[in-house]
Amino acid sequence: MTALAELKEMAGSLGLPSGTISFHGKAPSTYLVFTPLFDDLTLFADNKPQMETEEIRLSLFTKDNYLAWKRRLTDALLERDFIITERRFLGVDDETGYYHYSLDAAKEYVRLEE
Amino acid sequence: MARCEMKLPDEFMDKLSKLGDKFDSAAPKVLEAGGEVVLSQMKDNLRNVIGKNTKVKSRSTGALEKSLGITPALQDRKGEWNIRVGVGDSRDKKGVPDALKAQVLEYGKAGQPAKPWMKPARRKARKKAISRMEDVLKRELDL
Repeated sequence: MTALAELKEMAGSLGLPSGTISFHGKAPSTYLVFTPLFDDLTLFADNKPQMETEEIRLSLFTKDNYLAWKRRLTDALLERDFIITERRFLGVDDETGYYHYSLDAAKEYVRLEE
Repeated sequence: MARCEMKLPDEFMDKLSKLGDKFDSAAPKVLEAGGEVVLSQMKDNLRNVIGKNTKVKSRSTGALEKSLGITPALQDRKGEWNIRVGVGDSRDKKGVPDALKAQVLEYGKAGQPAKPWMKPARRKARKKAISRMEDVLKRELDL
């Protein structure tokens, strides 16, 4: 499983509509956008990488209480063994009324031979 | 009672004593060398994302790239040396803060996809910056 697939599944379990890179369609009052940040192969053995590290930015847009969503997302990420590398409140957009909160999450996976 | 004694090698002790005299004069040069590497990577990343895949024709003027810079290396109250690389508090011709444009590019906003360029630059430049700083430190301290 990839980090992106796992995060999409997490968003679904929280009842949050989500999109990758951008959100298509009419935006609901709360939604998530995933932006891949970093992808690397690490821990080499026998000249082959054994692990994959992926880091993804979760951009939360909500017209509701963003603090409650921040807590729920943080708990859900930690439950799934993601490392949260950054959390940042970015402000409220006066034009659209959305609060914007950003969480960067990284996870290591054992690389499976294809 | 068990007793443990640890002795540092003479060569290492010599290096440490040299460090004490010269470190404060070397530190700004070391940080500037590392900062240059990070700045160069940030500029590369910015050029790769700015004005690309925009809904309307890009109106990029290059002001954001010009605003990128490095502060002088300064010592804080604790005696630690610091340097900052990034967007200063400048504004473009229309009065828009360059830092705001940098943030919107990096994190996006409702209806505008994020195009991360600062965090990937930090990741990508890390090893090269550390290696460059090590080289300059060795040169400055005659190690």
